[in-house]
Amino acid sequence: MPDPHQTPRKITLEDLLRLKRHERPGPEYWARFDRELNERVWRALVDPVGPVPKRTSWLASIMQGRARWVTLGAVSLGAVAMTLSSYNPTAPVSTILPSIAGQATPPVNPEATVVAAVDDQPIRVASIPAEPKGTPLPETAETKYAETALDSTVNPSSSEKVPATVSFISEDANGIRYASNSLTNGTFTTLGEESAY
Amino acid sequence: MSRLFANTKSLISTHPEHAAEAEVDLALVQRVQTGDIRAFDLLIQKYRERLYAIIYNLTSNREDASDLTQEAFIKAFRNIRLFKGDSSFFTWLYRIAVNTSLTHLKRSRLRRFFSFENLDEQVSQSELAEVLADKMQTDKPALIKELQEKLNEALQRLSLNHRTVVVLFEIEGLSHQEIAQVMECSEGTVRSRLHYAKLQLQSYLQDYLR
Repeated sequence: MPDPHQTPRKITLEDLLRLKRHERPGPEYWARFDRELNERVWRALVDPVGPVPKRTSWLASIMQGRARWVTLGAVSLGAVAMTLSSYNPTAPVSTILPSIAGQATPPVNPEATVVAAVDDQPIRVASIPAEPKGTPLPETAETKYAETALDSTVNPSSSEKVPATVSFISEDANGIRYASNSLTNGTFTTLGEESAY
Repeated sequence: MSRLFANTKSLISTHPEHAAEAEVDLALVQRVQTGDIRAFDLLIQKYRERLYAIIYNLTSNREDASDLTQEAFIKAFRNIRLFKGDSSFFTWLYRIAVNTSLTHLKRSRLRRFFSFENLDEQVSQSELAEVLADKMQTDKPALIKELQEKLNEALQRLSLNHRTVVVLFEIEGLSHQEIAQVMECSEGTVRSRLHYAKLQLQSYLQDYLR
């Protein structure tokens, strides 16, 4: 029992801060924490580098304020300069068309490399094997997916951008071809039937 | 691998308990580095509460603390192959936790709110609570709740560096040398920040220190 005549102990800052050690979650919290963390660790094992950020911070900072107009102007000038320097009037115009059965697809140069992506999905650089002229492509799960996605009953608004799990490769123009993972409009022919998209 | 860690002993903490812990941790880290993922679970079990406490005391928000603690462990897991044993594992892990928290606090400084953990029963039965309740002439439950809020507010008024030093030294009990390793600064800087932070806290909490 404390002596009532004794001077009360002085409270120090350290005494108060020590109270913070007693703010802690109960044991039931840790069961949930372990479960969630375990899932995240396993996900990290499957995907060791983690998701790629949609927009990097330097790009975000460029896209804010006046700097974006200067940057966009510089990028546009650069693009124009590059186009003019590589312009060849005799080369066929690169069009983004699906390589599908029944169409007269020109032979593909096996050495050519896909160097540019037309949509927002980066395309991996890869050599494409040569196909003899007019060889029909086998019907695959990707083809079926594209057919379903392009079906006018499923997607009545034909102007909408339709994602496709298959990459559509353009004709070879001086060793450069373009790839797209989405479609906007045009005609899509498969197995002898034509449908608009 | 063992050659890689040959000089670790001389670099780890001078605190005897922590030095012993560092030996055990090193063995676990080496197991994880050679592919034994289960060893990482043991490290999680060992450090989850301490890491959570650091992050909670830096953020004063238990939801953020929970998420950031997990994030810190994931970062440690992803980068564990880069751990060379230049410092003890726990200072490396604490550094990840502190940096993760500071990055979060800098990003969200305009939309911050507090959510406090429960204080355990020991506090209401402590001598400190008795003395304070007597001094302030209030009942203990109300006093403890008020004190918890004031303490958190006072910590949040400190700059991030000052807050980190106070949390690591006064609440987590790290030495100046260990804090210097975690914060990658000199021990002199740690001492100076601690001194200044405590002066500020004394001023914010003077009502309780009379």
